[in-house]
Amino acid sequence: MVRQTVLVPDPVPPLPPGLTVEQRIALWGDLLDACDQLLLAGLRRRIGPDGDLRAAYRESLARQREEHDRMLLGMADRFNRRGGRHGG
Amino acid sequence: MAANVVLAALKHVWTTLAPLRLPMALMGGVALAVWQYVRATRDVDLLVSLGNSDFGLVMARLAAAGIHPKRQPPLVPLGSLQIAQFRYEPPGAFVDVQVDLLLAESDYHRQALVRRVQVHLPDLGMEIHVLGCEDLILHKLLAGRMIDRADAAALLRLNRASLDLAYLHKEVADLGVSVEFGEAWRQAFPDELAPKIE
Repeated sequence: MVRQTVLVPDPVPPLPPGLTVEQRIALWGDLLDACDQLLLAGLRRRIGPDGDLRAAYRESLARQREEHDRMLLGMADRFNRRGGRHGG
Repeated sequence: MAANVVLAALKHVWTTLAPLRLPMALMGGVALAVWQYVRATRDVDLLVSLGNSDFGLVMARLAAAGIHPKRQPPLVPLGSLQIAQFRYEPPGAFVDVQVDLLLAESDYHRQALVRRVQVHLPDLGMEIHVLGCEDLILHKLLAGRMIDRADAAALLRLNRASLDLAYLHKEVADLGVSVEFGEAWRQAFPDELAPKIE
């Protein structure tokens, strides 16, 4: 049976054509930095002006890492279960 | 800034491991950017083949360079794969960066490392290898989250003209990710039927 899932749209618009690798990585950096600024602003709003922003930031990154770790474990599990034709 | 911290960590880890001459390739956010897709990810994930080398040697080099295991024991066996996670805090940063080594010796992973692509990063003054686009797509399909599926769809659409579709289709079948591939294909090309892969 085909599994149905709801697919998300692209989270970012396409890049301009003809960019070099260096330019694409620079855009990645710009996007990551911009997202980080938004994250910091949101955290500041949540913890208030006297809150420990660095601690809140580290905590937020730790949650992102937990999600990333689950992804890695899931990827390994799927490879082990399905990659039999590769002797995985 | 976050990107500089991630790039500094990538450079430090890569230059630390490079003298060991182990086949390795970047799989994280910067690899997506190399293949024309930009998303705000801060992962430094490396696929590494140890071959006959001793993981203790890798550990020793990383430790000497201030790159420390996230947990003990550092090596987590996951069937035919092993994952080793580390943390490194570049000078001047107030957060560390997680560095994940996916140690894999399967036929598929060895092949993916043979197919890796060298890229020059002028800002870092170095050459690195990234997974080929087809293999990055396959890893995204194996990862299985919606965001990974969206990444796979974007990579398909943005690199269609240069993809080795015969290789991709074969590996989709061998890795058992035909359903996921079909979904990513339909997302990438909504007006087309997905290729039938047995």
